[in-house]
Amino acid sequence: MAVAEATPTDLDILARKERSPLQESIRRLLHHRVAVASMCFLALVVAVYVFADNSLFAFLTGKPPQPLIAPYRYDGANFVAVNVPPGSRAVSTKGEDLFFLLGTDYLGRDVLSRTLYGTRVSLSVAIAAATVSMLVGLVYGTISGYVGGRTDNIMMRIVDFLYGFPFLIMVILLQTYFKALARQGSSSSTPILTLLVGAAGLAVYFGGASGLTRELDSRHASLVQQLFWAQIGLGVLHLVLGYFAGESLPQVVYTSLLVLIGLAHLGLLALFVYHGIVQKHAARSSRTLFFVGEGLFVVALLLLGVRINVVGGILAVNKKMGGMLLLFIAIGLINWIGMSRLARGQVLSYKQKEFVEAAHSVGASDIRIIGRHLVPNIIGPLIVQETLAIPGYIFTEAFLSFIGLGVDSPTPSWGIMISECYPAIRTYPWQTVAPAAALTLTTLAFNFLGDGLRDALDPRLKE
Amino acid sequence: MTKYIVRRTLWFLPVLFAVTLFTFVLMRAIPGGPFSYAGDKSLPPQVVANIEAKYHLDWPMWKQFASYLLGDDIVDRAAYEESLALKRRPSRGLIRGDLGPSFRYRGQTVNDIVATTLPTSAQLGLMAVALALVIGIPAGTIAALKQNSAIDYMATFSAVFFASIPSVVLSPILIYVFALRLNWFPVASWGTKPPYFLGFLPQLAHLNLTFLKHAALPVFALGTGMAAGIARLTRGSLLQVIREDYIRTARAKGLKERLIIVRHALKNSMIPVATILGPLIAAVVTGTFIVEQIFGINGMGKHFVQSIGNRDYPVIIGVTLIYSVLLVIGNLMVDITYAWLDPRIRYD
Repeated sequence: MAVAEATPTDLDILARKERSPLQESIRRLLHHRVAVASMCFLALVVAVYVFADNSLFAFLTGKPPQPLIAPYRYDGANFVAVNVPPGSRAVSTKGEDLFFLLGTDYLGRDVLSRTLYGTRVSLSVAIAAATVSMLVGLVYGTISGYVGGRTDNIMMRIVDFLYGFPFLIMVILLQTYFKALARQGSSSSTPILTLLVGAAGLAVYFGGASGLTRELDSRHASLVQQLFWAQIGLGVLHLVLGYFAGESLPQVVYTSLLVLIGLAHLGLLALFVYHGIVQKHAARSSRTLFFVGEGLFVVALLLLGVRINVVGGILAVNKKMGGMLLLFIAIGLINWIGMSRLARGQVLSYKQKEFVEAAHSVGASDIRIIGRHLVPNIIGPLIVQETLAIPGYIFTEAFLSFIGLGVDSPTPSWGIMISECYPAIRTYPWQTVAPAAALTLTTLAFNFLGDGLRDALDPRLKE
Repeated sequence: MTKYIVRRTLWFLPVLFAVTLFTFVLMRAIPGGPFSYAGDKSLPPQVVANIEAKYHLDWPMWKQFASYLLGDDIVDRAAYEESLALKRRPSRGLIRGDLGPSFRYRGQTVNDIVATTLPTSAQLGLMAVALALVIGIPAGTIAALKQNSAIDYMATFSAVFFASIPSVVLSPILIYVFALRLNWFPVASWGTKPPYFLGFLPQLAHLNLTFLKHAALPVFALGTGMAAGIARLTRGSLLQVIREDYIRTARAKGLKERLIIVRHALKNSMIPVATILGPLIAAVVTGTFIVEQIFGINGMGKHFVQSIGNRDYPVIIGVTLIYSVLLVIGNLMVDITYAWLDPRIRYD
């Protein structure tokens, strides 16, 4: 009989042991009522994000997007119903019956529709910024922590250096620059991005070449040097041509000169490959640096020379997205530093653990160890951190929109709606209340979800 | 310790240089100069060229930067003499503390603007930080000591709630409720005027009810978010500290509970709080942009935002530099507090 009594508890223990840590975390998360409520709310917000209108599916029909959840278009002005209070009815100039559940703003645009459309900007910015900062921070921090030694030191010095930067102010300045570029159009924008790519490429290229010259025997080393300088010479020629002669030379001469220089570049590269110096004798890192640098350098030269205007291309996309793309870039630049520090700390604490050593001893490659063993272990705290950082991104977007550096009108964002309507708060409070409530509820949900995730992933803190 | 502070200060010089260079190049790279438009009309190109020549905007970029950094008399003696002859103000250079003229407000220098607006912003920011600490630390402590009680849940919930309301939202609500509906506080502006005591503190004669009434709403709008963050962090770290062995030891030797909390637990639980003070200072700085804008306070944040719209390059660069210096000082102070709280940290 004693056996029969003991069995259920044993089964219980067995059953509990079968759950993986991930399942255990999910179970804990689902028991966290506030977190579940937040998740439901965020799911609703995502639904609004996707189905506010049918623009995601409009390419199938080829018609202009129609509102789905939102009652009206975000930019549909009604001059018969300007500043009407919530719950008003009106008849439009075309004779349609209009109903404004949350009232209208100073152009007679439906506040409810604009608030619903506003999820698009806020959520996009939040998701994009979170992804960018997570990816950059994870890769940077993991490499820094895993490689260690001198590399780690240098990489963390760079982070320390950046940490002194007043980042939000930098984002404001960058965004000012981007906005001015967007206003200007693509005609005469400075090829600053191209120059940056070129400079980065040159630096990497130089690093690779100097690595090669050190590692190779003297005959090959001098060959590498000669070829390197020849490439640089060609590059300078290219630059001079692109900058000064591009306007004055006839198009045919200019283009054929460019093609000749491009062929010369390729020829030099072929010489490298022919001599086999790059493949056989040198360390892998120098080879990679050399080729990546060469690639970037050539790409930059081509862009500059042929004047495919990268900035112009980005601006065109940005314009289509209502000014959001540049906002993503600006905000994504803020937060990866903290993330990389966290990732590095986590990697350092797990690097010495037995399971990593075991993986090493059976001959797993570094990439496999990082990907299969380290990242799954360190990702939890990073996700929590990132979830709790999302309100910050949403705030930043609202803040930038508020000071006139956000999305372009008439694209609605909660920040822009508040900034347009708060001066009239005494007379038309509903115009401010709706976006303000949406903004607050969304950030609230992310904060609660982050807290719930932290409790679920790290139950020691709960007790 | 002194050595550490000196080293850190020196380390920030290159950061400041990089900030200056970055801001300078970026502002000059913006298409469309500050003088392209007068009001809505565009000026004739010759007029624009003349005005730009006056401010040496026709110089090559490196020369403009050198002039901004070092002063005209070092970079270009002839231009310096010429400016003096024309009774114009030559640049004396950043190294001698000259932030240059404002393009927008003719006759005012950036130094003038900073001198009139920074004290207001500093008063607002310091009061907000003080409010945040005064509310945040006790709230977090009480919540931790009464863990899982009704008080704890209420404090935790309101902390998350207030951390989720951005000042963009909170400020209009505060104005609507307390200034417009209840008429308790004035809607806008700040209660003190220069001259200030010690450069930024209001004179004692100005510290009356009017000043406090003006300050209440903006300080609250700026401070609550921070208070919420501090309360959450204090609660979390105090909960960890309270379970440490040395707290049990202190209890076992019969110390009073209040002494244990204040002397042993609270001091150690402040370490993580000290680490977020740096980011908090940054948050105050950016928070002032919005709060000053909404409450119509003539502070540096409002000026910064306006100068971006006006393309007033020298003001943008100057104010960015001031903010960087403030952040740097803030971070340094955080590190020093850190060392004081945790004697294990040695800086040498």
